[in-house]
Amino acid sequence: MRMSFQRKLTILLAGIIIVVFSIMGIFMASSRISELRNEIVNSAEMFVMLSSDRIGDAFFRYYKNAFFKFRSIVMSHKELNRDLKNIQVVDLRGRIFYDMEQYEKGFFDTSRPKYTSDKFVLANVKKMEVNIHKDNNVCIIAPYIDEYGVHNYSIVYYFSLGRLNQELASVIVSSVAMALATVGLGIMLSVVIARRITGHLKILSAGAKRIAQGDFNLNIDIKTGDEIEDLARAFNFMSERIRENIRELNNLIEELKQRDLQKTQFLANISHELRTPLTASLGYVDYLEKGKMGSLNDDQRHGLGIIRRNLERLNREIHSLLLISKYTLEGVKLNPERFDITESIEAIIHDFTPEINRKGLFIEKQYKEKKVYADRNGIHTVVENLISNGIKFADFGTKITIRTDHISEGDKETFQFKISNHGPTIPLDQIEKIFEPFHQVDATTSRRHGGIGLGLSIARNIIEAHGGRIWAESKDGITNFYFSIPQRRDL
Amino acid sequence: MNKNILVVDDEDDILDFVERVLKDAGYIVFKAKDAKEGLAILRSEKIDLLLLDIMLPEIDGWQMMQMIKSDEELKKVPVAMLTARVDAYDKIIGLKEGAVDYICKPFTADELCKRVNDIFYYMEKNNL
Repeated sequence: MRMSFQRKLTILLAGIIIVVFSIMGIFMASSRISELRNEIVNSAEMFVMLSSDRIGDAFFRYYKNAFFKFRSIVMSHKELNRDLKNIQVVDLRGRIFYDMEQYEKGFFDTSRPKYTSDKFVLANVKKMEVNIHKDNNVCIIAPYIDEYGVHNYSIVYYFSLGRLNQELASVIVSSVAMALATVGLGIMLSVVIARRITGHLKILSAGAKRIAQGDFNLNIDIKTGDEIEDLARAFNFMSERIRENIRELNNLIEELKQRDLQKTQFLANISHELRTPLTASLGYVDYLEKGKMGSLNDDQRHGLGIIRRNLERLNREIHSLLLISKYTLEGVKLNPERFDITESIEAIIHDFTPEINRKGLFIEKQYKEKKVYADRNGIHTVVENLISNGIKFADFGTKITIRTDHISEGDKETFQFKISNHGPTIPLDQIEKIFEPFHQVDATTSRRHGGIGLGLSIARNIIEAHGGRIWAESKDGITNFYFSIPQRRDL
Repeated sequence: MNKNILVVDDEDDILDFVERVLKDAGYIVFKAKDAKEGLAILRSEKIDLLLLDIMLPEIDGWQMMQMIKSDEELKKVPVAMLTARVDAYDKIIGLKEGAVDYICKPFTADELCKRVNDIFYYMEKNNL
């Protein structure tokens, strides 16, 4: 069970108070009892000393002739000590001549001799000094010496310790009452204190929660002048620091974004600037090749061909750069329509025929689905990049397989394109990275295969804009590239 | 009758190439290096087609197009944009603004000739 700090603190404080008061009560009671016992015994002894001679005299003088005078003297003494229970006059053999208690109750029969059964009395009745026995009662035996100096009788006093029990009870009652009152007061006080402390803790915990939720505009106002205030101040300081750090980070992010934008803008501008000189160059090369500026010999034609191919390659790369910076700046804009993708594939294969023939490649086509609903230009670019990639990395004289397919999975309809080639295996840790801009598996491949590695990144941008997925698998010298695009069922 | 074509582009080599190709195809070619020069020629000569680069110094191709389209005398001159931008979006803006065609750089001699021929063929067919 979850218990709040406040309740725990209250229970703890109440427990402490009860324990302290119980110990105090016990201590007070015990000291009070022993004090009282001493008091009773002392006053009893005193009483015995003062009264024994007078009672003895009265017995000696009046018992036989004026019993009622004797009795009244005894009774008047009895009034003087509230603990006194009984007075007996016992002779040296233990015979009781007078038993106040019995007599007053009317049980004392003087006609038959009665002997004491108290062993202490029997043992001490002959002694010449005062003897005290403490039991449940206090018994004191005082010898009486008559005017002839003879010890014939002893006076036996019984004092009750009953007052102790009363006193004990009242001490217990008062200390319990005090404990209860204190616990009540203590609980109230501890609730107040705990509420003060936990109230502040609650404010702090609410503050911490706000920080956790990302709200750093925190200013906890607690003025207690103690550790709680220090804690609150530390909280405020912390949130301020976090606020500052976030502000700095945001500035930094803004700056980086700005720089990234500038970079992309720069890339777009530079691509544009590069394209203009290409136009003139490509235009003239093309014009020259066609013999419109005079006839050419084979060597010149061969040279012009090399110039043209390289200019075209340069143009493709610049186009890629422009495209990727445009996608980064503006996102991919789609204009989807339903069209025959195999037309695109065939046109692209046609464009790559010289390269396919140079490497002695065989293209196997598996068109299981021809129609796709997508942006025609975008998909053309993707397929062009994937085919160009496949040809670029295919081993000489191998087969490239291109497959188009329609896949129904539950209520999802997707178009899937796959191209496989035989060539170098892409390491597993690189297979995701190849779709990042400017990435090729290693620096040497870019030297060997040319290109600045934007094709796959552009393809990913286009496919993801369609809500589709592009991925690669590479194992044992066979590399497959796939893309899939969700299709609307009604089309 | 030979058609008069004005080419506005800030690149000498492009102007040179376009002039050469179009002259070989039988057109009369006027060249301008910026919008001001282009507007002056538009006013002094009877121009049948304007090939206009978008990226021009000071007044760019869009601004020049707007100036032409808001000028009673000049607004009938058909304009074809020349640009290195790859953007379909630019193309749509260009056509909306009143361009009759849109030729992307780099273009080959054949492409340029064919596009220009097509524009004139289309205009004649529709009696524009």
